[in-house]
Amino acid sequence: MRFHLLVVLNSKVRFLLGYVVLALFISGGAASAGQVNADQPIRIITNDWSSQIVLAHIVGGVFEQLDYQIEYSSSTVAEQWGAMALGLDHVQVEVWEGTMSDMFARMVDAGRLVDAGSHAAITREEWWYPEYVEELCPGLPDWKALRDCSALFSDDGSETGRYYAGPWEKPEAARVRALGMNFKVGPVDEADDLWRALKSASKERRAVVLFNWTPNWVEARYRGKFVEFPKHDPACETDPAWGVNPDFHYDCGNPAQGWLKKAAWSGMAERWPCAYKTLQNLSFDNLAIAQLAARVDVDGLPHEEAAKEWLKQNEAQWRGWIDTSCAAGLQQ
Amino acid sequence: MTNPTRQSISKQLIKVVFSFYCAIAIAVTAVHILAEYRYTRDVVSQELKSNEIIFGSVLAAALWNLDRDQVDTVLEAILAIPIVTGIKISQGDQLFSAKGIVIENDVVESFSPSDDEVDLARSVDRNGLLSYTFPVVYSYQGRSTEIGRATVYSSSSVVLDRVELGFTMLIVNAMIKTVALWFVFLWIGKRILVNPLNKLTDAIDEVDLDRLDKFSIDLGSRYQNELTVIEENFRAMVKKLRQDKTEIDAFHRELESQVRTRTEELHEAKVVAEKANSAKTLFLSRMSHELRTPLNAIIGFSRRQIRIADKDKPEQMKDMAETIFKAGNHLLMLISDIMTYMESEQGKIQVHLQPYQLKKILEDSLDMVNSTAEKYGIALHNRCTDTDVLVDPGRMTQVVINLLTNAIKYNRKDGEVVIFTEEKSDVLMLHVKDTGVGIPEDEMHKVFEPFTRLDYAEYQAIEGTGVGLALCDFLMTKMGGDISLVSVPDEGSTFSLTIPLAKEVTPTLMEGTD
Repeated sequence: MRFHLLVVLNSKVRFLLGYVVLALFISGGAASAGQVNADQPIRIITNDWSSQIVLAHIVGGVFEQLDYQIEYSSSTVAEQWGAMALGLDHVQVEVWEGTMSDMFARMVDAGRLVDAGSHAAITREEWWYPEYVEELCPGLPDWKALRDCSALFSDDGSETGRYYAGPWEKPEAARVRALGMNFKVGPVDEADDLWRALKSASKERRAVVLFNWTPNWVEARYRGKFVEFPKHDPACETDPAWGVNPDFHYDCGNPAQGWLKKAAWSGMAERWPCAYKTLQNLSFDNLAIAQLAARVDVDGLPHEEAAKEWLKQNEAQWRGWIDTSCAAGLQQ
Repeated sequence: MTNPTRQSISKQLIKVVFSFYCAIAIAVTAVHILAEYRYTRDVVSQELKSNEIIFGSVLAAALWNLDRDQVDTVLEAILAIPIVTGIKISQGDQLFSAKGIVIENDVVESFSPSDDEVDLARSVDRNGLLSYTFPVVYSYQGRSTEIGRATVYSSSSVVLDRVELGFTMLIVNAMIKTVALWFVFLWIGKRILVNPLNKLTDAIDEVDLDRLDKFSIDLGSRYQNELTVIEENFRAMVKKLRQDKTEIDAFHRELESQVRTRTEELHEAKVVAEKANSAKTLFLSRMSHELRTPLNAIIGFSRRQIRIADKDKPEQMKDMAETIFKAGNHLLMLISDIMTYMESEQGKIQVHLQPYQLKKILEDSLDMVNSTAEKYGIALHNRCTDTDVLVDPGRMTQVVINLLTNAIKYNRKDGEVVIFTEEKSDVLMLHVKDTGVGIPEDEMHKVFEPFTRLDYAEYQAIEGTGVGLALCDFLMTKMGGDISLVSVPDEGSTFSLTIPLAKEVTPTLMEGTD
């Protein structure tokens, strides 16, 4: 009997020991993965417009809740792609179709970036004017109206109107040339210069056309419309024969229903899987983004404060972005 | 005149100098070409490196954004540089993009659509490719990051193509310099060296010791140099040679004259010697005759005296005895003369000077020649004064007998001989004058030579030995006197003796020292 008891006990001990070893193995492996993640910070890119910076800090705040180390990397749109491709930076929370689709697609095709999904927001980047300008220049928002009243938009008394371009490199001069518009492209040094020009023109009800986008805080404060250029087609940028001018590219507008994506370094999913999953899940719509931008650009709140405010007010929303498999490590 | 040695010197000079020059020129040109090739290769390498500076930032910006089109555009721009034959961009082990001919995975590959370049890539040895690899660095947020590596290629053919013109110019330059240098060298060398040397050697060849007056040399050099020094020295040497030749000719003529003179003198001496030899022969012959004659008389009369000894013919016996006596004396005198002469030649003769009465000497002498004078019909006249003289009486008698005998033998028929004295301050002159044929002036010097007889004596077969007068001359000299001759042809001769006077002088022995 004793012998049999020992045999039974022995079989149970064996089972228990095997279970313990397996559990230890699994927990030890998880701990090792968490240790690796904690040692290497996730670098989130911040650009030079408010909504992107606030969203970056919101995402960074969520990642921190997942116990990741976070660094914010201030970069230009032009430089961010190479940095992400090499793994120097890891996350971009706003990839606009109108201005970034080509580079984004190139990096994704090269396997250097991964598409972390789209926001709910529908984007557009285009020439924009306050609504009262339609009275000054009839025919708007059709772009052809600008050809007839370019002098109204002049800032130097000439017949050539000025388009207030943003500080970002975009093919606006090519568009002006391709469409035969009597406009000069006058870029500003920073985005705030755009809003100052808008504010000044609106105050005087003077004709002005400037770079704008949606979602943006402007739509929450000013009534206005985008100029309707010929509808965008990828061939417009690659085939000169396409469009109204058979000799030049860019004889079309930017996409009117553009997506807004999130981009991640190709190694992110492996190195920081929970962060990556969270990034995939998060999403902002146009209103939310516009409001966040307004908190900074209109209300004067610092980006970080605006982000904290949002995180505090929308905890249920961002907690919903976190995958259940990652929720165990979420800070309370 | 073509001189092989001269030709060989010229050819040797040209061959040696040309060989050395060509060797040095080829070596220098080869070194120059090698240096040019290495320099060009370094330049190409530097130009390859310069692509890093020129295109590095543009390439980095394009590569940063993975903008393949822009990267390819930059690569094509780099490839458009003549020295660049290929370029590739790598990220890690992955080839990002490449253009032209590059080395990938240790294989030369062409990344151009052109079939020619593909074929060229196959023909290119990887060792023939020059390459320069540089990191493509992008500065992001103030930190430089290597985002790839670019390798730019060139090939040795590019270096060769670039230096081809330089090589050609180097070789053409070397050839032009060589030709020009040699033209100048030969022209100048011929003008300042070869031509003057030829003129100099021609002049040397044409030097004729017998025609030095016509010698001339002119190298035609405008400047002073070693050849003109040789020319001047040679000209001076010829001038000196000409002077020496003149002196040698004069000396030669003088020498020939002397030789001729000496030859004549030798000839004369030979004639004299032959004469002397002939005289001796004649003397011996004459002596034989002279000795035989008295001997015949002595023998003949002796034999006859024996035959007639029985008969009583005293007068006849007496005459014969006298004849024998005279013949014996004559023979004795001949032998005495010869012996005296031989002694005089051997230096053995002695004279014993003593005061002596000349009268007695003359009487003895006249007694000795009376019979001879009678024989020849010559009258003897003694007109001398009696004076004491310092002589060797025997030698003095011998002299006087010789003079009287000659005066008798060389006299004309029925002629006379007169002896007379003439006293001077401390000497006595004794003259023996005959009325003979006389002696021609050109034979007077022979009179006192031994063994010599006048032609007249030979023609007339006048007996005599020819040593009498020579002996007289010798004896008179030994006794401190002298003998001289005055003669007029066809009238006669006068021999004069200078005899020292006796002045109470102690008799002296005078020994011959000759």
